[in-house]
Amino acid sequence: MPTTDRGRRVTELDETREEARRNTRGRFEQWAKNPTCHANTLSAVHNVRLDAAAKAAGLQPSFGQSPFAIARGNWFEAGLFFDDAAKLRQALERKSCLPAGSTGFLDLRLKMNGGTEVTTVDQALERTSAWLQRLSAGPTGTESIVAGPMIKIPKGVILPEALLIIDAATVTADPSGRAKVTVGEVKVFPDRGGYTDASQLASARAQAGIYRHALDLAVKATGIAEDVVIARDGFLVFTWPGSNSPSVRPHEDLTYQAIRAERGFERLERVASELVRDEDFSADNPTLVERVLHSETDYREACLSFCDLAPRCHRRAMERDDAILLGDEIKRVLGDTTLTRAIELLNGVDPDDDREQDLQRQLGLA
Amino acid sequence: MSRREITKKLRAWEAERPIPRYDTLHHAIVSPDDALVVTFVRMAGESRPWGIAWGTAASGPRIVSVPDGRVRDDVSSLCAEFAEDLLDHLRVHNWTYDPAGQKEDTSRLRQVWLPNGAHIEMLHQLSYTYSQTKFGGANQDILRALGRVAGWMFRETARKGSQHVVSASGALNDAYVFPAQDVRTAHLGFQLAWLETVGDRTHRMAAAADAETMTVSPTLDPDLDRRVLSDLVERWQLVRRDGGEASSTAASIAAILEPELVRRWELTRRAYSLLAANDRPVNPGVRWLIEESQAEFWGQHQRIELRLNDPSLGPAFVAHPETDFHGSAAASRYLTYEAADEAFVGRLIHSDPELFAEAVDAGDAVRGEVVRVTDLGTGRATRPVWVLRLPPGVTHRLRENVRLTPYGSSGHEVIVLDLDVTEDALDVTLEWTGLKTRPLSVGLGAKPDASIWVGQQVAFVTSDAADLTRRRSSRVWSAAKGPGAWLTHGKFPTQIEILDDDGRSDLLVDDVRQIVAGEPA
Repeated sequence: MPTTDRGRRVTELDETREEARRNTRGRFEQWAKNPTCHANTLSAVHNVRLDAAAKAAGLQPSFGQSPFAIARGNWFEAGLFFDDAAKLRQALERKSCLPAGSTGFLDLRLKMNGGTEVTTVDQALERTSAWLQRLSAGPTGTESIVAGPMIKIPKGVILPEALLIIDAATVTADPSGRAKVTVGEVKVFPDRGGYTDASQLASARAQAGIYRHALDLAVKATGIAEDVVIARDGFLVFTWPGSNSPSVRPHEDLTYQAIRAERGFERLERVASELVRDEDFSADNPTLVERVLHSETDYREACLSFCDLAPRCHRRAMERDDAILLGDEIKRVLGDTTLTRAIELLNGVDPDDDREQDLQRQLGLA
Repeated sequence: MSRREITKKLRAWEAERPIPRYDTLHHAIVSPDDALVVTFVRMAGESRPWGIAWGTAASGPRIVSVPDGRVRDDVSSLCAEFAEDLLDHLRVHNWTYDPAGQKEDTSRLRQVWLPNGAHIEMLHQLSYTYSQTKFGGANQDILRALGRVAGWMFRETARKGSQHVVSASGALNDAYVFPAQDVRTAHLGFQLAWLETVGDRTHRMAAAADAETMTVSPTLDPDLDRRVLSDLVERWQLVRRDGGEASSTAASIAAILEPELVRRWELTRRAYSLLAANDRPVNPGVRWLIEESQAEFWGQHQRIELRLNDPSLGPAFVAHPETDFHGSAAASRYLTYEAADEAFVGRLIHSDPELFAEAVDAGDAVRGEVVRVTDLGTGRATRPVWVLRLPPGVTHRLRENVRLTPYGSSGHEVIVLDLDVTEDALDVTLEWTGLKTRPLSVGLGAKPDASIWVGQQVAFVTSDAADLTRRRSSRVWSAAKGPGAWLTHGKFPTQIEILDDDGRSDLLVDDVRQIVAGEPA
């Protein structure tokens, strides 16, 4: 391989890994949407973007973010933390997430993410660790709002390593006098009270649950679990419809979301260890894309909402005459029975075996 | 998914096209002049419209957009223009010479058709933005009126059987079973391609897959934003900031938004036309649903508009877009919605054999042979009692004191007195309680006490308790000392006011704390 080509590949690999660091949460959530699909698992583990895989397979990627949405998100977040997070503080105090008259703002966001001081990932990790250590001495004198603390999950829970950037956290005093850290998730979603989009709420809660789990792991790993309390609940920061004003949803119980994250990471680790090959870690991106494209898939309705490879799986399902073409529920009932055979059974042909007889009974014929 | 639904999906696959879900349509289809088709586009991440297309199915669309959906003043002018036609169409008091009255003929129903649920949610966003807006200048009144009516329209869609606001995609899904995944059938273009394409399954599927690539959501395709609109909007902003002439850039943006709006509008109109020209009749029970909807429009919107205009008529309670902040109101509305839910099937089932078959499958309806007719009445009183024999393995939800209505003879009613299970049959003793001296409008057409019913097959459906629930929705207002009064008649928070267009208000604290501890918000 020519040197320049090798150099290009090494650079590409570095970029990929760097992106993987930043994208742990997104990859985990992508995997959780269809954990039984090997292609999806490999894509999440190796941070192979599904749109890149789709392009390599000759498909037209259909998912992506609008520049308007990205800009809106950036403005909203920048506005929240502007002037020592005055806007966010006001909203949090109004909802009793912080006591009135709270003070102190620690900005741990990377400069590339709108931060003011931190320039590298290592610096962010170092400062977050120092912040946690300071908290172990108690809440007095510490900043009450922290933006963008970065946690490195011990043991490399997601390959190649797991870094999570928490949107925001508050520090208050526990009744026992210890510092209590509460995680917050910032989203540009409009908060429409009881009518708020259920899937948007669910995704925000799930993400906050991952943060909570990560913080739990971090304080344990740092040896300060006895001195710092990680709140069971968290807060979500949405927008007032049509405005950049924050709308805080306080006291969101994250207990089960954190358990989901813990179990999910463990399961992903297990699945990944069965699928990932040693040589993958030295492989370049095109090779990994090929690995994803040649992995087994498990096509479901959920794939239509996130996976650019779904049209390929749909085509394969057509070739197999697979019941998934009519949806998850039909697939659950028909199993491996093809649609053609199911219709024959529905029309009264004699069943070949007990399974088909049972299916006829389920369809109300026997 | 029920067995029946699975079977229908398979039948649709076998037929290679969508098949009718029921034997009748369960929604009113008004004349083209009375169907206002409305579609929105908005900037990704934003809540306000960027452009709106509206017009009746007869007249065609009027398209208006603004160069940048984030500029509030421009958007409010756009919305004020739209509001004028919407308020007039719905015949809202103060905004039309022909307002809808308390008692309206069902033929005077006006509908608003939107492509899907995402567009219906835009109504809620308009309610948030404008129902209490402090801005808008000369347009403030009409914007507030728009916010109020949009809020009512949005809430009304949650009431089962509502007739004023129609999600085209939802209406097609109610009318047809598609041989495809449910997730995909939420896409209006996908549905129409399946329905309108000529040819076999392969042709229809290919057309549907093509149609699916074109978004129907109010948010545009991110690729279009990236490739074209992002630069244009930025240029428009820069020119405007420098005080230059930005009209040509604005026209370029409008030229891109227009086909997007027109496409969504046309899809919705096609859905309307397809249902309007359907070979299935509208269920006769829909007439009752229209009456209910008109009563709701009067009680929940029109009456309040009148009071806003004339305070001597009483206090005008303008619903907050987020919640009602009022325990009794919440309880009453809950029961109203529950009554609507209970009544929906009960009103339609008698004219729709497929709906009846679905109820039989679910155990909500039974068919059996009348084996005995007796009259337990004394003197001149009539008290007909039947014994209905059902096959032993039949699926049913019968128990003593359950009320049933003979299928096809709405108004008549029986109560289950006894269930006698034997090895080869289930004998159900029924006493006639409703219209017991009037002939049934099904079967032999005889009175319930006529012995000629013996040997006849008669079907019954579970009666709905909607009337009772509706009465409870009124009574809850005066139940200050009844059970649950701590919740419905606790200390009410002050009526929330949205102080500015950024939603500044400080009453949304913690509902549980407010209710339990009676803390002020």
